[in-house]
Amino acid sequence: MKTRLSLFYLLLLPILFVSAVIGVCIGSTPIGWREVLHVLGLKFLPQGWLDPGSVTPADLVVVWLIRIPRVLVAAFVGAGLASSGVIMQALFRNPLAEPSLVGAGPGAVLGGVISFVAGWSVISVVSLPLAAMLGALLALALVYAMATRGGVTPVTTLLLAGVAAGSLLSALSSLLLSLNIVNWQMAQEIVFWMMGGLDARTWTHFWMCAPFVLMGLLAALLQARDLDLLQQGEETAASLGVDVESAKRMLTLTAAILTGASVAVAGLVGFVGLIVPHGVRLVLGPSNRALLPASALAGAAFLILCDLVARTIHHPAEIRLGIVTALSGGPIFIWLLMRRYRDVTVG
Amino acid sequence: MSVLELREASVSRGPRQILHQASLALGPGELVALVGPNGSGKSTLLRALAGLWPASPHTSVLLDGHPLHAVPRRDIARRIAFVSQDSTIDFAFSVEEIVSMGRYAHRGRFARESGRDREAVKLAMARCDIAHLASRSANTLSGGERQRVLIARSLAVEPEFILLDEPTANLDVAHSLEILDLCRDLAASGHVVVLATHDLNAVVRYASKVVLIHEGRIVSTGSRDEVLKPQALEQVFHVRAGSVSDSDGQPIYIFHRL
Amino acid sequence: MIAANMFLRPALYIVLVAVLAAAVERYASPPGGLQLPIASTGEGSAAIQTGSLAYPREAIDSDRMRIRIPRPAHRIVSQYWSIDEYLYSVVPPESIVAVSESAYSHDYGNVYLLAEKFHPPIATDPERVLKLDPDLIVVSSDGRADYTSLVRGTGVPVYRMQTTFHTLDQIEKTILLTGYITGADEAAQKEAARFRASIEQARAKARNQRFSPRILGLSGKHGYGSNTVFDDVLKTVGAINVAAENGIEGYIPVNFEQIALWNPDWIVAGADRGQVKQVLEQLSSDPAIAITKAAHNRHILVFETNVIVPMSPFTSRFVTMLADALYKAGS
Repeated sequence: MKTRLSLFYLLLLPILFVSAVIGVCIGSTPIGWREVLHVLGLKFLPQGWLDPGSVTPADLVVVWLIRIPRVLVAAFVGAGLASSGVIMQALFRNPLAEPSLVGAGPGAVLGGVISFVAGWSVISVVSLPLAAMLGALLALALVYAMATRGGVTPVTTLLLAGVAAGSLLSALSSLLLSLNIVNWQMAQEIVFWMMGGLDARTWTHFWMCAPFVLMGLLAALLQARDLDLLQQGEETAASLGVDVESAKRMLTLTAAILTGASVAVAGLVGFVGLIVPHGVRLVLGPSNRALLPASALAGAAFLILCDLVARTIHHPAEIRLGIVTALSGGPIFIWLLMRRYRDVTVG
Repeated sequence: MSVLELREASVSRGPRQILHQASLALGPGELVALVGPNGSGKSTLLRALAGLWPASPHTSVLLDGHPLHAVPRRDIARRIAFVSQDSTIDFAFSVEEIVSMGRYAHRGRFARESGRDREAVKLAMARCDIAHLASRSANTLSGGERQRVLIARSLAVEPEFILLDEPTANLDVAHSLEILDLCRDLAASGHVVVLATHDLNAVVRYASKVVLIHEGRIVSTGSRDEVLKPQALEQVFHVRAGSVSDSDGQPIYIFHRL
Repeated sequence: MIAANMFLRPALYIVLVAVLAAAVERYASPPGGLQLPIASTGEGSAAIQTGSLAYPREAIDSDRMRIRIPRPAHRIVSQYWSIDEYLYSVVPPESIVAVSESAYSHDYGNVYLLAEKFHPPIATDPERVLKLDPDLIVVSSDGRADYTSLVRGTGVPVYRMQTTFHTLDQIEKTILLTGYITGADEAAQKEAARFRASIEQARAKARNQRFSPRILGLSGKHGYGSNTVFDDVLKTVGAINVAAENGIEGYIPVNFEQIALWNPDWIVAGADRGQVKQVLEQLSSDPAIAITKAAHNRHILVFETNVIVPMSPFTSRFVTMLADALYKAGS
């Protein structure tokens, strides 16, 4: 098992690194990798080490202000969604669970739509992410309120409430969109955002996303053992000493923050939270201690590559990121499903 | 000397009352068999003893005289282990990982695995004869092996009280007897073992105390001969019971339709 | 409730981070220091203040940021459809190095001929925009803050222009503003004068009429109420806006049954290119509309979308065409 883990990381880390590098070097305008390195050198090395005249100001701006934030945001969003997926799949004891099941995803989307419609997203670049994250938290609070009786929130009720609330919140988003469809510029922006995308990501978006993803991942790692035990069933976990209700609260909150931070800066990007944990689990097994960081890194690499595809395949137009993840994730998901059923019939 | 007792405990789920004022005291070295037909409340009683029913004014479970729901979850888990009847393990954890989950009550969330922990796990696996399965994935095991893994997990807890709900239900004869021998050894070494079962013949030759439960009420408590009288059996199980003795003088129960 | 406490703390953290991020974004000075801190004057979106004519010029945009423009602009980027129209009306077309997608639209746009001739790329991708080495980027007040904040951070002057209008007067002022920020003051004055002349001509025609026609403006299922440019156009041609009269404000869906009740004298509608006849037929045959005076007297005017829809110098074309249609000799 240890060797499997090492092998996995040995393969994954270079892939992640290379995708990040390719992600920065490739864009709608050609910039060589030498120029990219120059820019990085100018930014990180002390003044005077490199000649600033060796890169044009446009190159500097494009690499440092446009491409690097975009690739970093892609990495953190991928990591956030994948980790959230790990938590959801363990909590609901179902390898087909995904981050939006507790309503956090639709809640974030609704927050975003409200910020568009109310005009806040025009005022400042933080309004949209902020509204999305608060939306995710509020949705979770709503779901919890619906599913809790006498201090106990059974997991099946939580799931049902999450799905119900998710439908309700999605419907509200659609309602707001339809009422404002007249303002077609805004409607177009809302629809594009809802399809997921990393266009025009700045360092501000990075700072609104990365700290929360890191925090969430850390919190999840600290609860990895609880997750393992909860996966054996709530009753079993309780009999083994887990404070089940408190653990569930913390875990769903962590998942909501991870999902919220991701939707906040990238819109609705589906399938990452579903297939990345599933795929990594097939290789590394179900122990969440190993699964969480591995899925996060795999999710990061996956999303960087998807974003690369989204930017380059229909050059110069950009395909929405959510579409690329669905189109690549969908077939993988179907293959995983068929594999599962094949095992059942043979075994 | 630890004592776990139920005092006039009533448990209801919604409008249905499952246990009616059940009283039971368990002391060390006892192997208690809890018998009764399906739906009589055996599982509920066991769960109440394990502290798994939410606290309510009617569930009075006392551990050494203290109400159980006032004790923190982890402390309860350190002393009372519960093995449920239907544990399906769907994820591919290895046997060793599953057994070491039993140490959670001692380790908590963050503490690293200590030598003590590893020892307890090894011992538990040896006792249940699954040491050779340590790195096998749990979902490749047979029903009987799985059951032994779960029992090993509860042993890894190093508890004082072990509560088992129908542990021999899915086991073949050889393994059933193995488990029952194990239970007897555990009781002999000072643990309290409570088995809920409806398999009278296998269990009663091991139990030091038998509790007969019917429709949520404890009908009688005592030794095997005191409790398992034909009339009582007829009333509770709705069958005509007779017994013959085997070569050791132990009764074998035979049942006929009424 | 436990849940409330559990969510309050993370929510507060999130808000804190957001506020910090917003503050940093607003106040950090980008390379070149071309943006100065927020202006202390300016009342809301309608206030477009400009400074002196000498360079470097300063203009306050719809974000209330004071934008410094160091010299006349010769490489201008437009990010919005009305801005395309303002620019093409005022500056030499070669100076426009990037436009919005609508510039090439034959249905909604009025500048496609120029766009197709000079073929500037489309401005949605910030990378390409920056590679064009622009000296002025004009974005819309309605656009998402993300794009604006990204290009603002690059050091090129970015002017956020107010693009929601309610009156023709605002349009005229914006023509002059376009001249100011690009340095094409003379051309702007000329264009503004031409615009004003068209409006005055239409007004004159209306003055000579005895009574005011009651007009309903329709676009698909939406009606034009008060507080729209359409409403101001109707006022200019001396007409009464039936929708506004009945309390409709802005551009919102109207119930066709109400149209029968309102009984307008004229109906003015828009249609996509090549669809004018069909829309006319559709409207005439709609039962609710067929019983109005407008339908009875064959007073249903259908204009192409790019005549009615603009809120730019091209709006004068609509004014002129409407006045002509309403007041042709003998009507």
